[in-house]
Amino acid sequence: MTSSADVDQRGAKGFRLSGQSGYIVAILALTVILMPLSRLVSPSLGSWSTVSAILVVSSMLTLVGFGQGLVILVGELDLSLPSIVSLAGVLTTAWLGSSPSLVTFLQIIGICALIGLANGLGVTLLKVPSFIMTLGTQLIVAGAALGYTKGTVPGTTPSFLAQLMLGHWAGIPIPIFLLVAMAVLGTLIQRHTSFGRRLYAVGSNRASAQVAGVHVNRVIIGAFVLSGVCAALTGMLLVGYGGGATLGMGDTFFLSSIAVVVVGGSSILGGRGSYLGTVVAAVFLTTISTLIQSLGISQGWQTFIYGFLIVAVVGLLNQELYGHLTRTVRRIAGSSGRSRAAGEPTA
Amino acid sequence: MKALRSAATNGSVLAGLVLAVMYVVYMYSSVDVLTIENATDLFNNAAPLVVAATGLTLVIVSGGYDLSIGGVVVIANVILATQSGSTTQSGLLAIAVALAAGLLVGAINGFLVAYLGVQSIAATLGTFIMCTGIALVIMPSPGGSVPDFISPGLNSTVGGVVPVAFLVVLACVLGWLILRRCRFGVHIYALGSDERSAVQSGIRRANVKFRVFVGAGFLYAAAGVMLTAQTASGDPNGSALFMVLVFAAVAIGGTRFGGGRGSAIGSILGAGVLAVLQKMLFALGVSTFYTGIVQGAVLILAVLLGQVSLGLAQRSRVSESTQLIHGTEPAGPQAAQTGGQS
Repeated sequence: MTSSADVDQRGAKGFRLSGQSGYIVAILALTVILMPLSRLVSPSLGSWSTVSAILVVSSMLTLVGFGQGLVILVGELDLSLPSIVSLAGVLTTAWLGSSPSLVTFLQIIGICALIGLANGLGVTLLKVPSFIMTLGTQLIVAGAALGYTKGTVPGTTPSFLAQLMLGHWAGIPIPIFLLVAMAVLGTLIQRHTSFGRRLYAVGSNRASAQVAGVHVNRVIIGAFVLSGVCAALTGMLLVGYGGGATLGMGDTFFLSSIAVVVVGGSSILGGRGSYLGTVVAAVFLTTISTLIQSLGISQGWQTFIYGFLIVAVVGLLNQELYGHLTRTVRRIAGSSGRSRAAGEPTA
Repeated sequence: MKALRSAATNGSVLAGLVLAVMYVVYMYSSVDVLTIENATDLFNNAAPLVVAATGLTLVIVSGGYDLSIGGVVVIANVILATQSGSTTQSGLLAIAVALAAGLLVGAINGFLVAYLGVQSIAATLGTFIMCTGIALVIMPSPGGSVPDFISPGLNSTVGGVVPVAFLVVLACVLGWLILRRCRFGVHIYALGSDERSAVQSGIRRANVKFRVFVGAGFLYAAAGVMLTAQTASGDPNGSALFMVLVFAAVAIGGTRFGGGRGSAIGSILGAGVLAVLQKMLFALGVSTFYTGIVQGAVLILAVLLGQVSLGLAQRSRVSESTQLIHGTEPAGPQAAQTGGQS
């Protein structure tokens, strides 16, 4: 009872800010319904241990989704995240594995922040379209990681990361606390800091943000740098969780980092969306992929469903489509047969 | 000076110059470059890129983006690798199925973008992911084989002289030259340069966009067929790099991202630049570990080069129009031409 009231209140607040709250609550409800229902598929699912495993995996997706979400919020796209995650993972085992030190930790974060900075500078100052710029850095960084390791990743997993990702506190896996902390912190950054508000301003209308005195380029660069940092942290968490690094460890995030943001209800054009949506979508997508895996459906169908969800959500959230649908329904209800006119553009 | 500037502002000319310079460098970096075998090899490497870049140019000139290239190419690839059997007949059937798959994906893209008004980058990202999934379903792990007439058939020469791949490239060039001069081509450029005024002058936006995506999907599938002729096997994961190269080819060719300006001729020359680059890197002995770095850098540099060229074009257009206003330039045929273009 109290929890549903909590959700409603949160939803009401989100509604005022973004108009997406109903959607987020719906996704959350669907996830909550899916979890016990999955027991019907396989008795091992739906138990507390499965749910906590889902949340642990979601924590990494939530983190990488935060960075991608910021970049999408300003109307750009970051396709370099997979290679940054891999690079950070490789550097973590190679440099941090035997002798953990804060300086080395910061160096790795710094390198990934620099990659983000390069993305941001390319997009703002050189005016390279973001998906081309970040696709370029994706290739360069992946090449650098491959060249550095010569194919075999050196080093071991730092013990503190393994403890962080596999440890428990008060009987609950620590990553779940990370997930909650991330949700709170991310929402605070997006909603209640001036940087966050500027992200929305730049994303919804660059020209008017400029006129209102926002340093548009700085905000975009900031989003890319934060995206790089989030990817670096994700790489480290993944090393702790998986017990090692591989050159392809970040590849899954190429699709899923965008999928969580879009399925979370953010506009791919920027200016609209909430981090809470991304968090809920991360749990939702992880639940679905767990369900699919237990059904014995192949990786291919899983990928297909990801893509389908993106198309469906982007399509459904598209107001023009909504308008088309209501008009079509009205037309069908009114008279018969002239459905072809629904496809005509309305100036 | 004027000739130089107009050359620099024309993406195709610029790409052609870069290609010529690189080819000369390549000629000196390696022996036996000027043989029919070597030329055939070069055309074979370039053909998939050329075909896909022609398709992407269609979409980009019309003002859209298309990320589904990778997906369509990989679907065509796995269809051929799993379904083509060993005879010419079954191979032809598989090619027809692959091309139909390309048309289908293009039609889905077109429907989403043109009729439902979904942003093209989002719609095609979704279909790209879906295609990748379907490719994995069709063929979970790399392998498979194709009949002889696809590989080495599509990689060999007609009568020992003319490479099949050259004919494919030629078809793309001719196709584009014809398209530019017909109504559909004009509509694509009009839509890309100013969508609102194009619609107001009676262009059926949705119809044109839909046909653009369908045509592009078909060309991506054809590119997938040419790519399969090269690899002679299927790989459900090998599409991301190819997509990057296609975008790089279009960027080198001076097509403006955002629409309205550019030409597939430039993209085709851009694909040539990339094909020669790959051969050059190989001839110079650059480690395969670092080819990714070079390709990424080339992609970004290519877009920058295109941007510089566009900047020059805008500046020269501005100076020409001020000259017109001040009457220092005699209003000859060139001025009339400028007026007609803008």
